[in-house]
Parts: sequence; C-alpha cells; structure tokens
Amino acid sequence: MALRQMLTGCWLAQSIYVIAKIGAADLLSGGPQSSEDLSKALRVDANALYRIMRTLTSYGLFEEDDKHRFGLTPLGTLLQTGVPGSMRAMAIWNGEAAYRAWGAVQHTIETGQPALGHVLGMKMFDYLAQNHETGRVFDEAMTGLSVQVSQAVVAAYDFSGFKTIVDVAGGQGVLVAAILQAYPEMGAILCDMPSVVEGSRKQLEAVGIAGRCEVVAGDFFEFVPKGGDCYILSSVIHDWDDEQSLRILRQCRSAMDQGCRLLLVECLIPDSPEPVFSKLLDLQMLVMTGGRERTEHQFKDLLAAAKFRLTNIIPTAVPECIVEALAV
Amino acid sequence: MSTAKSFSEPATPAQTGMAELPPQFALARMMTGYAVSQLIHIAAQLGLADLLKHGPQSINELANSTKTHQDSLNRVMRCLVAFGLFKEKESGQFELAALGQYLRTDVPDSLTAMTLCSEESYLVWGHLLHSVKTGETAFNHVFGMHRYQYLEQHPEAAARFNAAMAQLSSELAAAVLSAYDFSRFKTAVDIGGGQGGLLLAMLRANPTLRAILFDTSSVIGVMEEQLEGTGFAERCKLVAGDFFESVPDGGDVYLLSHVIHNWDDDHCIRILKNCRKAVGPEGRLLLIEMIMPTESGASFSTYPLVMTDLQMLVMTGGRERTESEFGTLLAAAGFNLERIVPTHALESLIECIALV
Repeated sequence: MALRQMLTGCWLAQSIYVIAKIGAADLLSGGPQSSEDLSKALRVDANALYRIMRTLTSYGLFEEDDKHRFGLTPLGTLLQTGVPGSMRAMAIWNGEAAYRAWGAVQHTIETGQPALGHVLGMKMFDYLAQNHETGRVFDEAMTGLSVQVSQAVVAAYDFSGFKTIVDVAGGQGVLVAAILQAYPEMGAILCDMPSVVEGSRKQLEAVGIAGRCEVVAGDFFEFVPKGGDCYILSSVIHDWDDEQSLRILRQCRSAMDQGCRLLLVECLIPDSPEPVFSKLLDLQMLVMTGGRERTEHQFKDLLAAAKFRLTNIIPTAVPECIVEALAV
Repeated sequence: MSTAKSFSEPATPAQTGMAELPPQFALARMMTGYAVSQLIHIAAQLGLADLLKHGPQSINELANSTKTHQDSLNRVMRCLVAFGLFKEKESGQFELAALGQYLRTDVPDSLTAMTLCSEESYLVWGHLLHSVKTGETAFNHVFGMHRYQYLEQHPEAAARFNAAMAQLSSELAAAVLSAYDFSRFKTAVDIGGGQGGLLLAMLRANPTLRAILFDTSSVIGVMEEQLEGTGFAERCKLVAGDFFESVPDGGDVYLLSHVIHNWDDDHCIRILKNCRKAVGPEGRLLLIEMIMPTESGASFSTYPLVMTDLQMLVMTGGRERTESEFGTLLAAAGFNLERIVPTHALESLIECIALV
C-alpha cells in the first residue's frame, strides 16, 4: 500500500546511498559482475552487498542475469562517477548530511529553524566552507544537477541580443559555459565565493571559453559585479529566506542599469494540490538552509521589493523554470 | 515487518508511474525517499489525522494544537496534500484524504503504530554503510546491543514495537486461519507470540483448542494484565522464558511466526533445536514467514521481500530465506520440511515434522 511504501522511503534512499558511496556502479562500467567479485574489489561484506543489490534490482537500478551477475540499467548508470548528469555525488549528499538533518525534522517544525543547523551546530554554507570533503561532495552534486538544468535553460530561453551575462553564484560555471558555447559572440562574468570559483577557471579553459569569461570572487550579500546586461541567479534564491533573498536581489539591482534583465532559475510551486517535486524540495530547503521554493506570486512580490518587474515565466524540460524580470 | 495488505495494493516503482519518469527524476525521487518517510512519521507523531477526524481545520488551529511553527507546518501540510494524506479546501482549511485515514489511531487498519515504531529504525538505517563495510548489524553498532535486548531495557520503545506487531499479527491471523486447519490439534504453543494476536484468533476460531503463549517476561507481564479481558484466560496459559534456553512442553502444534527471520542461521538452529525437544512424533512445527523467491528482478512479487530482508539486515541481523534455505536450517535442527502452504498474505506456512 502506498503509505507503507512511503514509510520505507528511508530504506531505499540509504540503499542507493551505500551503492553510490562505495562506488559499486563504477566497477560495473565494463559489464556485469557477481556481487561476490564486487565485494572483494570493494572490500565490503559480500552478504550485505548482495542483499542490497538484489533490492535495488527490484527498483530497476540493476539487472541480475541467470549467473547472478549484476549489470547497470539506465537508472543505475547515473550512480557512476563522471557520466553526463551523474547523480553519484547527489546520492552521497542526500545519504549523509541531508539524511542526518531530516532525522531532526521535528526541530524544524517546532521552531521553523533549519534542522541541519541544529544537527551540525552551524549553518549549512558555513559548514560546507569548513569541511572540505563535504563541501566537495556538495559542489559535485550541484554541478551534476546544473548540467541538466543548464542544457534545459539554454534550450528554453533566447539569449541573443545580450552582450554580457553575469552568473551570480554560478558555481563551477556550468551554466555560463553552456550559454557561451551556444552564443559565440557573447561575454560573461562568473562570480561566486572564493573557495568555489577557484576550480572554475580550469573548467572554463577546458571548454574553450576562458577568454570570454571573467571570473570574480565575492560574496553576493556584499557585492555583485557591474557590467552585464543579463544577470542570472540559478537555484540561488531558494536557499534563502525572504529577507536574505531581498539583500541578494538588491545587490544585483544596484549593479544593473534600468532595462537590464534578471533571470531566476528556480522551481515554482503551483497553487494547486498536485504532487510536484518542488513541494518536497521546498521542505528540503526548510530543513537544510532555511530557504524555500516559492509560488509565482511570492516571486513577484520579492522582485518588486527589489525594484524588478516580473515579465515572464518560461518552463523548461526540467522542473526548474526561468523567472524573467526587468530592472525598473 | 509486512503482511496481508501491506504491499498488496500495487506500489512498485513501475506501478506508481516512476518507470515512465526520465531516469534522473526517478532516481532523485528514490534517493530523497527518506524525507517522505520522515514526513509521514511527523504527521503521525503530531497526531494530525486525529485532529482532523471531526472535520476541517485551519493551519492556525493545527499549529496551535500541535505547538508547531505555523509557516513550517503549512509547508509540511502542502507536501502531505501532494502525497494524498490530506486535502486543502477552497477556504484554506485542511481535511483528511483517503491515505490520511490510516494515520488515525481509532481505525482498525491504523498504521500509526507502525509509523511511530520507525523512530529507531530511521537512525539505524543511517548506518547501513557500516553494515556493508563490516557485516555487523547496524542496530548493534548504534545501540551497542541486539534489538531484542534493547526492547527489554526500553519499555517505551517496546510498547511502540509491540503495538506495531499486534497490528501486523491481527492482519496475518486471518490469512493463516483461512489457509490451515487447526481443528485437529489439542494445544497450540506460540513461541515468541507477542501480544497473542495470532493465538487468540486461533482460539476464537477453534472452540476446543487450548493454547500456550510463550515470550519474554516483559511481554508476558503485559499480557497477564490483558488476557483477563479477552475471555480466553481459561484456555490460554502464559509462560515466560527464553527460546534460546527451552520452550514449553505439552503442545501438539508449535508456531514460530515472524521469529526465524529475526535471527542468523546459528541462532535459528538454537531456537529450532529447542523446539525439536518439545515437538512429539505426531506434532507439527509451523513457521510463518515470507519465502524469498530464488529469481530476482524488478517484479511486484519480490520487492516487499527484498526490502524486509534489508530491514532484518540492519535491525536484527536476521534475513528472509528461500525455501531451500529453510529446508537446510530445519534439517540441521532435526526437522523435515513437509510442505509449504501459501496464504493470501505474503507469508506462507512452512509445515515441519520431527525427524526420527
């Protein structure tokens, strides 16, 4: 029954996490293997590994052949390192920090404060800055996600006519790279925290756009670079509450001339009761960062308070939409 | 931990439409399933379904009665509406939807007990990686003792667990009684019989049958207070003990329902050998367990079993077994597996006789 299925959600999630963490999918890239062989290579308990892989076979992540060898399905392939749109880091992020935080969800519902902060003793982004291994997993998870989102954004939005894109908190530059590759005349500025942008130059060089993309280190609560005619905040605003979001948007606005565009790439919460993923993501934000996913109406108000006018909402092939606004 | 109706309404990945999702969305949903289970747990813990059973309420009322942060609760409710537990009216008030009814405490098929029982299990599942790396039972790693020892020492956790098991055994009892004829027996002994759900149902259906309920002293202690009220005190004897030491003599049918799957092979053989000493040549031993099919795959029939198998891996160190694994285990304890009687639940009856 549906409710019992939901109750065992943490079992399935942890099973996927373990497979991602030990790197089992990577070892299967050359073809099916028995769990016995896998367990030797991975130095894990053969009995436990077999039972987990048998379970995930039921959920379509693996296929078991008649010689009890496990092979990857399209779902399982996503747990490999380095494949396009890899979700391995995302699975590890979910299985560790997020899982722990959700163990204290009651704290959030009683106080309205993020459970993660309660569990870790500090805010999520401070924790990520201080714990490099977790920070790396988080960045990788976000990069994996932004590969999917970037392709969808470039396909859904016409950027022609812009001279310079500014990607605020653009991480490793995945979105900027996708846009500049599609528009050979365009320039860009990528800005993010110093620890994040460090690694981005190499990435930009690798895709041959380093010459057109300036990299600026800075904290968007303090400073957003001038000089663009299109500013993008992709999956940024949802990490913050209204007050903090407003501070970020105002920093953007003060860097922008009137008539420039601002694009927010965010999931929208519909007013209807339909079961969309953004409603669960909203609670992820509540528990992890204290941020939220917003309705169209909430975006409109937030933007207006920072002197923007919401002009259009453009859906994409992924759950995220493009919320287009004009600096007024 | 699953019986009769538990997974009989289809909810495999394929049947919930997950298979039609692009792989990255399907995987994202599965890997965030822990958030879903915690939300259901919170809904049960806050008693939201009981609060709404007499009619719709506003978020303000709900937040006040549950002493929670209103905006956060509102966002939780929005998600629970999306899951189908509640509905939101035009007025903004929330009311119970079909799934939410199962979280009421006053309905016969309530899942509240099972939901509340997941408190330790969420924590323990967070250590699945430890089980995989070391082979050690995650529960023992987290709590420093076997789950049953822990339940002996933590009466509140034991009460939650017993309530969940009682719910399961009342669902299971109907399936067992319609699959197997107990009328030829004089005395049934339920080893590890918990709150007696199965045994009392057997007494109800078989007026001449007598029964012995055997479990740990803490469980029997609770039952001593409850048995009077059932009207079966005359026909049902309560015996406290440890099935690793011995089991009571005097029965002609011995039941081990959901016991064997909680233990590894060595422990199972110890339990079964003690049963062997008590079961006479004409007697029967019945194991009531799910039977793991030998083939695997993305099929509706296997997935509740493989999931429960992992629950045993992390919680108790036990496992779900195939028919041949049961056969080997039984033979090692001096029993012959006579036949397997399927029920309309996921569990089967494994009928055994003593080898001479």
